[in-house]
This record gives sequence, C-alpha cells and structure tokens, in this order.
Amino acid sequence: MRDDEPQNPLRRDPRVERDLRRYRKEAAAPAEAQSLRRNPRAERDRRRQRPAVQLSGSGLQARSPDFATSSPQKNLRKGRRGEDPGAIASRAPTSRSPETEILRLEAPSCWVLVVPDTPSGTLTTHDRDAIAAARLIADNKDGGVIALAPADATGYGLIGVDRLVPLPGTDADTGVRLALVESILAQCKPAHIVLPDTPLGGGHLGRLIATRQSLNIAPGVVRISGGELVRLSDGGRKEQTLPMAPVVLVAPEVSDPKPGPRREARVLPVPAPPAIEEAVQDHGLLPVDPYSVPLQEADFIISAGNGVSDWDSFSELAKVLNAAIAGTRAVCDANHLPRHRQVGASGTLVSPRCYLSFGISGAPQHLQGIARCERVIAVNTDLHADMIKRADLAIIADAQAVMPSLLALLRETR
Amino acid sequence: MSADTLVVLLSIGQNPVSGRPRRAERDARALSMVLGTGKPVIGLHAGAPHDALHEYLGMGLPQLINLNVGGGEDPTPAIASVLSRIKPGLVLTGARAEIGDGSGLLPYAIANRLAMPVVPEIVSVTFRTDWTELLQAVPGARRRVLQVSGPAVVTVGHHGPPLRQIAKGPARRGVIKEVAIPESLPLAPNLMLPPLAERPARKRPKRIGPTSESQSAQNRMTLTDPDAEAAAHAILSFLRSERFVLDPAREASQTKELAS
Ligand SMILES: Cc1cc2nc3c(=O)[nH]c(=O)nc-3n(C[C@H](O)[C@H](O)[C@H](O)COP(=O)(O)OP(=O)(O)OC[C@H]3O[C@@H](n4cnc5c(N)ncnc54)[C@H](O)[C@@H]3O)c2cc1C
Repeated sequence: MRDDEPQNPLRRDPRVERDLRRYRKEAAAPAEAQSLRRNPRAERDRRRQRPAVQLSGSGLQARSPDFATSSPQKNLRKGRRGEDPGAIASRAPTSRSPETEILRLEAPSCWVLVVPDTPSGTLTTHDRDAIAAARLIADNKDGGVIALAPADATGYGLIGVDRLVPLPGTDADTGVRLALVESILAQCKPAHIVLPDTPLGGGHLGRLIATRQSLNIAPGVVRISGGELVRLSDGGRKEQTLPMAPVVLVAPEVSDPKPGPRREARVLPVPAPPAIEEAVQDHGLLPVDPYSVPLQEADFIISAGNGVSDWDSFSELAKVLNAAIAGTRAVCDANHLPRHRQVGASGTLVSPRCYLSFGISGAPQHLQGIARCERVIAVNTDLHADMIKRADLAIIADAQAVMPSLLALLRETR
Repeated sequence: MSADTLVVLLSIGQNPVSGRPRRAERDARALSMVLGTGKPVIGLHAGAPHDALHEYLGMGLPQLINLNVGGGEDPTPAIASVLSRIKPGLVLTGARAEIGDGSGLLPYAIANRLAMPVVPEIVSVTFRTDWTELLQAVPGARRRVLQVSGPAVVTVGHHGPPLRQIAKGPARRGVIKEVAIPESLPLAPNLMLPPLAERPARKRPKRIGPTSESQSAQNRMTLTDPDAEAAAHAILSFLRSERFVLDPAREASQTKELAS
C-alpha cells in the first residue's frame, strides 16, 4: 500500500505540477476540449471513450452532474500518481473495473478529520480546499482522511476521502455537528481536525470544539508546508509559522485540490449522539428583497439584458427564486433597472454561486463582471452570443417564452 | 447589576493604512449596535490603558472599565471573572482583534468559561420582554432571525450598522475606570501555540477563476430551440442539481429555510 502513496507533496516539483495540471485539464475537459495545447493522442482516446451525450431536446439526463456517475475520462484520475498520464489514458478504458483502482486504507498511522460546511448539502470551493488540506496533512503522516458529510454525499472518494461519517440530514446545524464530531473524537481519536474558517460554519464549530475540549488550535491558516502552518496575524500585516495543531482552521485557497488515487470513502458507523443544545432558537431566513440585496454579496443572481422585455415575469421570477436582480449596462441605461444593479466592468463585479441570465449578449465588459461566478445559465436567441459560450447551461430560446414557463413550473412544484 | 446590563468588549485597533492605533472597527460596530437601545452599556477593555479608548467614549459610551492585564498575558480569566460578577444579559465583541494574533478565540474562550452560547455575525439586536432577537448575516446577503432567552456572547463581523461618529466632547470628558485584577486568578491554557517564527506578510497570488475540481464535475450543456416547457424543465433541473432550488421532496426537512 505504501507504494501507492503519492510522493511527498510538501516539496513542490514544478515539472510534476505542470504535468498534473495538464493531466487534470485533460481529465476534466469536456468533449470540446479547451486545453491550451492539443494532444492528438488524448483526443483520439477521448473520442473512443465518448459517452453518447444528447445535446438537444430535453436530454438533460445525459448530463452527469455528480461525479459518482463519472464519465470514462474521469477514470483517468483513478490512476496512480507518478505514472505517465498518457499510459493511463490509453489503458483506462479497457481495464475499467473500479474496484481494482480504489485505494483502500485499513489501518493508517493516524486519522485526519475534515468537516466541510456543505451548505444545503454541496461542497463549496472553500470546502474542497479544506479537504485538500486534510489530504495533505494526512499524506505527510501516512494517515487517512475521515470526512463528515451529508447523508447523500457522493464522489468524496475522488477528492481524497477514505472514510465518511454521514450527517443525519442535509442541513445539520452546529449542535448536531458538534455532537457528532465529539463522538468521532472519542471513537477514532483523529490526530487533527481540519475545518474551513468560515464565520458561521467551520470557524464557529472549530473554535467551539477547541475551547470545549481544550485542544490547541491554529485559526486562519493560509498555507501548510513541511508539517508547519502559516497564518496571518496583526490584521494581515504579519505572518506566523505555527507547529501543526490538533484543530486547523483553513482560509480559502490554503491548498489546491489535486488529482490523486480514488479512495474508498467507506461509511464509518458512528452512533449519532443527541445534538448538543445550542440555547439559540432559529427562526428562519428573512425574505430577500431582490432589488436591495448587495450584488457583491449575493449568491444567486438573476440578470437581464436587452433581450428581456417582459419585466413583470422577470421580477416575479426573482421573487420566487429568492434571487438578487441585476442587469447589463444596456438595461440600466434604458432605466429598466436602477444603476446600482449593473453588473460588469463599470458596475459591480459579482461572485454568486449561480448567475441566471436572460437576453444578455455577453460583451467583454459584462463578462468581466461575472468572471468569478461558479455556474452560469444563459437564455438567448442567438446561438453565437458570447454569453452562450460562457454558460454551463445554455438555452437557445426566447426569454419571453421561457420566463413565464419557468415561473409556472416553479409555482406548480412548490 | 442585572441581566439588563450589556457588556461590550473593546480592544485597541490599528488603521490598516497608516498603522496608527484607533478604535477597533468590529468592536466599535458591536458598540454602535447596542448604544441607543435604552439598556445600560458597559465597555470593558483588558490590557494597558490607551488613549484610543477615548474614541469609544466619544461614541456615547458612558462607562469604560479598563482591566489592567499585563501585555502578552491571556486576558480571558480576568474578563471572565469580571463578567461573572456583572452577570450581563449579553456580551458583545468584534469577531477578531485587529492587532496581535487575531485568532477570534477570545469570545469562545469566555463563553466556554461562563457556559454561554456564542452567536456569530450578528448585525442587529432587539430586546423583547422575554427574549432577545438577533439578526445574523448569512452568506449570500441573507439574514437569519435568531432568539436567545438567556445570556449569550455575540460577535460582530463586517456587516451591521454603520459606526457611530466620535464626538470630541464626550471623548474628552468620559471616565475610564481602571481596575486591577486579583492576583489569585487561575491561568487559562492558551489554546494557540506560540509561533515558531513571525515575519512581514508576503503577498500570495490569488487563484484565478473557479478551480479545476469544481469545473470538472460538470459538463456543459446546450439546448437548441427547445419549447418553452422543456427549457423551463432544463433550468429547474439544473438549479435543483446544484441545490439553488430545493426539491419538493427535500423541502420537508428544510421548512425552516422557507418559512419566511
Ligand atoms: C467603457 C464601457 C464600459 C462598459 N461597462 C459595462 C458594464 O459594466 N456592464 C455591462 O453589462 N455592459 C457594459 N458595457 C456595455 C457592453 O459593451 C454592452 O453594450 C452591453 O453589456 C450589452 O448589453 P446587453 O447584453 O443587454 O445588450 P445587447 O448586446 O443588445 O444584447 C442583447 C442580447 O439579447 C439577445 N436577445 C434578443 N432578443 C431576445 C429574446 N427575445 N430572448 C432571448 N434573447 C434575446 C440577443 O441575441 C443579444 O445577444 C460597457 C461598454 C463600454 C464601452
């Protein structure tokens, strides 16, 4: 099993990193590969392995949104690190029994527990960075990674998780998580706990755990290197090096998720203890006013361009979806929306998890404003609009037809 | 003193540009939040006396206690012992300090000693007859309504009310009461290990755009000329698969989120 361990990731090897990047891109790129340099062999291999993807009609089923149902290309990632990616690429399609390629850890020298925030059940980028950090700390000690994850979590094996402890629900609150973490502490005695340092999520939970259990803690860690932690102090003016601590709260981008061997993510039975009473009663979220939510903070934005003329449906849709309203300069110029709702180079730079756009052409000044959006949906009549190219889900249709239809569908299913 | 009293923990901050000492922004925001609620407010600073403390008085704070804790010493035991005498209804403070470690641990350490809950990222406080209503900033520019009926430690981040102005007169006239700490105070374990090294921070390049991992999970998808219904279904499935919209089947467990 030792042989399967990736080489010590603590020292950087630029060449390996470059290869990994390229390898990752190949593994990740959809059929219309966007890699900077073409690799004829990989392309040929990909063509051979292409699944039959339906790209028209309502063939959404053809998509594979979750990586458990990974496309064949992703099997590349199960290959061992250090091997020539090309060799794996040509071999993978023929030997595709996943069992043989899963790295199984039975009794690692220690465990590292990672507790991602998983708001509404999905991993954030910060969560992925925290899992990568946990993997790094574990690899440094020949250890294994345990993740606390929503009950229906899938794909954690691909991002370096050896064991899963399922949460009782999707939106388990701090009390539930705290109780579960404390029983994992008692049962598995992990050497380290890694959490994303978010004010309401891991940062809160991690500080509670450290003070309750009297564990040493390193908050706001920006880098992990050579078994030591680097964090900022003095309001960001200084950086401190700390020894590895039992509780590690990591900042975003602390380490980059890297492809590694696929792991088991085997469910670890931990009896769910009663939640620790929080003495704070949750009375739910306040309704959002789509026009006043600060755009730079919003995590779901619905945006209109010149292709929108049915403004009633548009603003109804925003209400039903609980999304913040935005628009292009063109619609703000035309006074359809107030100026402070303009997204783009001369408006607000936004970074929502989802940007749902109607009738936006995708001018460079607008695209600049949405560079940090995670998911983009575009509805536009013009197949060649740049917005369509930027979109994860592109729909070539009339916004005035789609908006009322979506509205009706949402009302019907609620 | 009674559970009516509010204590705000106040530290010395630092202007990020000039480096000059000043009121700490988050602490000052916590103070702005409760001044004017009609409740008695006490400011509490643990550390050496400092001129910048007058800025808090200038905001309208009537009373500031300065606990003379030696530099480099963990102020937690001293603060906790004073608080257990005052027995305030709420303890408020900034989420982390602007100078020193800035670990954000202090509110948690104090809450743990006094067996109080910590409620982070609060933007407003409203006092009702039997409970206190707290509004919490949630990612995505949303606000959550919380209620506490007993004492709690409340922390304040960057969201929340604008800072109160500093008026010169009160800043000059206000009184700072210096209090020595009892010798016999038991020491708290410092949960942050001493740094091995410290140096000026280096600039780190930011990651550009979303990372490979999150991108690779997704295939792009284009629907050409679907009818309106198919388009609507495609958008809804996408929003559901990414959980921007909840599945009706899942809603039962999430009614809290939708109750509003
Ligand atoms: C210095 C400078 C700064 C700028 N800053 C910004 C900025 O910050 N933000 C910004 O947004 N722009 C900015 N612009 C303007 C930018 O260049 C574009 O002009 C603008 O973004 C276009 O807006 P639009 O997409 O709404 O309109 P258009 O470019 O007119 O596009 C309309 C789109 O709607 C589609 N469409 C038409 N009818 C329908 C229908 N029925 N259903 C669906 N789709 C339909 C069309 O195919 C087209 O793609 C700036 C320009 C300059 C010169």
